[in-house]
Amino acid sequence: MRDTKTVAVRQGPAATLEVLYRAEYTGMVRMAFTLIGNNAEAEEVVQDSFVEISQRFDELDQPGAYLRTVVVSRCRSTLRRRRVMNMHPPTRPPDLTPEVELLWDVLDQLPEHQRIAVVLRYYCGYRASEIARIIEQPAATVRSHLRRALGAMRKELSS
Amino acid sequence: MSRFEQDVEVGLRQIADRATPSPDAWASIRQRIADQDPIHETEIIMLTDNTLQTRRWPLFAAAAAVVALLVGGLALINRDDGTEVPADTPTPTVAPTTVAPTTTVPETLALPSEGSLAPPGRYATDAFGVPASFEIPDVASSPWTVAVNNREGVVLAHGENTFVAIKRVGSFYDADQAVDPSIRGLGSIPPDGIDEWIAANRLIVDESTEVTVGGRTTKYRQLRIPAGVGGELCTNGIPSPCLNMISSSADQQGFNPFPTIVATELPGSFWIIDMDEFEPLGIWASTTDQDHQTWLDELAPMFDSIEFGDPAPAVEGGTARVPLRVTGNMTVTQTGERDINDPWPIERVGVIVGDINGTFTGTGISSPNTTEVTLDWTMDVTIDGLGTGTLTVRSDETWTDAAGRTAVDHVLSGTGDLEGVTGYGTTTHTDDGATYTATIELTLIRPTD
Repeated sequence: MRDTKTVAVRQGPAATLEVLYRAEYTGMVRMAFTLIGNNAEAEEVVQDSFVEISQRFDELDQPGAYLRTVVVSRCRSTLRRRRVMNMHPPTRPPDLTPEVELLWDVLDQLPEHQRIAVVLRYYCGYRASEIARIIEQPAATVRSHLRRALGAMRKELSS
Repeated sequence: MSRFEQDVEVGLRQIADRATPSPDAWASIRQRIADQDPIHETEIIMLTDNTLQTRRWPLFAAAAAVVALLVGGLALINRDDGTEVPADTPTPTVAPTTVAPTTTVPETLALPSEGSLAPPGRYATDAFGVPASFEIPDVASSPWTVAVNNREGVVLAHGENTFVAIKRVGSFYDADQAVDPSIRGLGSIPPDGIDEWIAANRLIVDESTEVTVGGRTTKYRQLRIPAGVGGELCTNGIPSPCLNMISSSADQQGFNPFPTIVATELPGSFWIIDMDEFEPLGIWASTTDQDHQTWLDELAPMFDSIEFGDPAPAVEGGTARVPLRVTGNMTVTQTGERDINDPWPIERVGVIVGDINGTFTGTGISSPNTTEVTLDWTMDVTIDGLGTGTLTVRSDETWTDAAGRTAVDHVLSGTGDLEGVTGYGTTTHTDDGATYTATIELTLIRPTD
């Protein structure tokens, strides 16, 4: 009897998780790639995130939002680990235009919080208040990150 | 949205489009989910089967204890394994369930004032500039005392000479905040500038391993001042060269008010915690009463329990007084006879590098024929004015001569990019008609904030 229940419970969330996977996986990998600049690491981050949320999937009101938060959090950890250990550098794709190559390089030089704020704002289209919830910082701090990041990017891209 | 922002948006989209998601990722994810710990299955069942609830609590308690022990051991025992607990894991939005999970939230107490005993428990403080809480563990040998609890940070003493200090690194560069105005401390360190700071101060890192404290990746470092490098002499009575990391706060009352230091002869372990865009925190654990590793082991539960809130938003604008550390060689050319009455305040000189053709005794030079001496000399100066391209610095040191001659101020001035690292200054010292000129290389640690 217990075994039957176990299978039933586990199949239910898994089926729904697959729906979430179909809807979100590609977008999450692209966001993670823009955040950390390495395709293999981006995929690993997103797959780890799916595995993580599978453990509590049936408790989540908004699994998509939670997935996004977990992915961003794991990207932050990756950036920090990279900064400390100097491993897995970003790998710039070979076929970018010169302007986008420059943007890539400038993005790579931004501090972690600024880079995350820029990607969530200008790639994902989130408002500062939404970004604040994702990265768990005050909205004013997010706006400060964005202001500083744009200033630095403008300076670098115009020089 | 400005044109520039639109360009950024388009560029980011092009970058994102270069990602190549694997088409068979779902199979991999499914396999990994299937391979998960069977405890997870038990947890799912519990949500739908009340009859099993009672039997499983001991299992969960045991599992939680094992996890706590593992986490507790990792920070200090497995310092070199490179693993990291994911930071900032968010709290999920939990839907109502038929069996509400029972969570025990430990009571958090305000950290007592200086001089008070602190029984084991969980305490909160905002002394670090960010909200923080941590556990004071139960140690059998003697109770904990809150030695320092002020804007400088927190020092918890345990026994006579055993303590752990958690401090904002570089807070007290304003003399009026410090108990000893002559100690200027580090000044502020940029978030990513710890390694540069260590290098600029010529410290030796004997051990450096990655650990996680308070959910933040940090490094455990054993720091040491190399032999032959001067700096200040220790201000706490230890007769060895020191780097004064931070002076004690002027409002400190309950502990020996000596600065946090790196010294050649004091056993200590340092953690520098990266606080993102806030100044780093330093943890200094030291003991002369017991084995150092034993002390670190006792501290492990405290370090594991540290939790940080969000730092306050950075305050922009304003004028900062920023300390500079001046390092490098100063060549002093002196004409005429040099004797015990020479005005150089030798007690402020760390190490004599060059051959002085004589010997130092006490606070004077005993060398009748010395004409040139090279000094490796360290002092703090203060930026007197901030410009976009010109750096003017002024030392607040006053030369006092050993024999009571007239004290003479000296001025350092130089130019350098505020974002740069090097400038040059000269100092002129006039005394009884003799003129001494020195050239000093300035190393800019942090220009401004």
